[in-house]
Amino acid sequence: MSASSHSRLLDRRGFLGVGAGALATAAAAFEWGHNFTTRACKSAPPNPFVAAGKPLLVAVEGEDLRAMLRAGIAALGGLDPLAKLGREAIFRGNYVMAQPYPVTTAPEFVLAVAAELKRAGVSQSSLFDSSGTRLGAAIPPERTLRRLGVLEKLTQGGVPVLARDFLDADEFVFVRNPAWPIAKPVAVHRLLHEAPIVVSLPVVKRHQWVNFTCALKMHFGSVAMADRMLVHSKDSEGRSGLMHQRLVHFADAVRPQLNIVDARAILARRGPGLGGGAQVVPGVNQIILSGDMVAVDAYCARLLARHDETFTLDMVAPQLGHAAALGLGKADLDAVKVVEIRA
Amino acid sequence: MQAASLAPIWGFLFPAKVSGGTQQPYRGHSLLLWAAAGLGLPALGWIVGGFLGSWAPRTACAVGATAIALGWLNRQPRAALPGAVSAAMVTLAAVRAGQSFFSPLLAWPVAGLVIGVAGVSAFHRRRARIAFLVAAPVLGSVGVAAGMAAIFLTAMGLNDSRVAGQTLLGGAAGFGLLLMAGAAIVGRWLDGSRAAGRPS
Repeated sequence: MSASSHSRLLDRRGFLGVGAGALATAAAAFEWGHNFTTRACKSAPPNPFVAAGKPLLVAVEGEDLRAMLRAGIAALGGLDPLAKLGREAIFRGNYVMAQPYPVTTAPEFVLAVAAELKRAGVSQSSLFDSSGTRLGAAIPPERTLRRLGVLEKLTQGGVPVLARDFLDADEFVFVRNPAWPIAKPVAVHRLLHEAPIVVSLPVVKRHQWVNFTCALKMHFGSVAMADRMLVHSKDSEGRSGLMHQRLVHFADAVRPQLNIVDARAILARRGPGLGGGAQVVPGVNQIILSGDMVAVDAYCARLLARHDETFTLDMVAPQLGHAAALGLGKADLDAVKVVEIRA
Repeated sequence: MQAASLAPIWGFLFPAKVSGGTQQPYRGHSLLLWAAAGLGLPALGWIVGGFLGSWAPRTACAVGATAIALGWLNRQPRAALPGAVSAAMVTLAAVRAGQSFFSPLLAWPVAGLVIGVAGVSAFHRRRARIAFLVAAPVLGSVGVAAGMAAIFLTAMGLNDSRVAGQTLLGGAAGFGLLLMAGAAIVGRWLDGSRAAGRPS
């Protein structure tokens, strides 16, 4: 091959110029592409569970789970408003680690709610979870659910489990609410973004960084691991307020139509897992139902405060205040119609 | 002073040759072109692979694109295509195996080894061939790790999960970057062949 056949591609200055141009073009294309693909948060219909213009919150005390659920649903006015939205629902549970209830949502609770939804006309319910990745053979997405026995029990009970990879960028949709003080979008799972009905099934727990986990914080599990890691790395102990704000944005990205809290037992003093001084408080014997997740957290924070002398309501004020400011619900229980019954 | 100290580096990256007492820009592919091709083509392969599925096709396409870049810059287009196809197929198998054993990320060193085997024909001297064969899986693996780390740290700096979501894209680009730069450097130092960007 002769030397003349080798075209001189670029000199130093030209190469650097072209390189800089290519880099700028790539960055602009990346930004444009993401702006183009970033969507608004899902448009959830208004809370269907209201009374006299106030969001309705039902707290049921009892010992028979199914009886409590039925009484609660009846007090809520039935699940017909949900059935009008579609025939399929997706459940969100809390499966932060492979430890049993009340660290995680109990499988019998999921099955009981699925049965009630079916009675109301929602023919198919599935449980969504994203707490693992196929990039590690030892931590596949279904690992926690399998170890807890949730996968087996729900599958046998006719509730399919949708365990998805928290690192797979293709599985997520970027959403943004202009009202967020943080302009960056959030990667929420596509299944949750597109589901006609999302029902949250939280548990009540202390959290070592944001003090409290219930209906809002549980949606850390609804977004991509990239979002979770960034928040944890930027505000590892929840001191700067970023985690309090971002967990609200994560919940805003999901906007469940109904929240049913299983507070038959709660995790006090420390969390979100067992150990380190965490204490399971049995015998609380309550379930809480509402379409307003902020009201649910406000109510359950009071419940926790009654059973955990190390917890005070001001600890949860930042996240509740931010959620209320964004219009996700009512943090002031005076603005909520609270119905307390026994079943 | 600073320019003088950088001169050898620039001379290495942007070689010039002396002809008839005058210095002329080198007429072959510069090391930076190899690096740029190594950075860009695997990244493009990763993006294209996304239209076919998830980790497995993305990784296979990125590796195939790296093999094509290597063949292209070695001016061996006929060898590039079968090399790319075979590297992609072995990579696919390695991803599948990695899903049940440790991690699909194991496919990257395997892909580096396959490209190392396929790429030895680009070198003339035995020492260069051996060096590339040994270096390719190591460079590929280090490149993946460095690329992933670079993207993730950038995402942390920008506090942007959109960037963090591209961590594996960074790994693919890092794989190609180090592998291609390694091929160019091995050729330049040990071979004096086309792999060094010198006319044959």
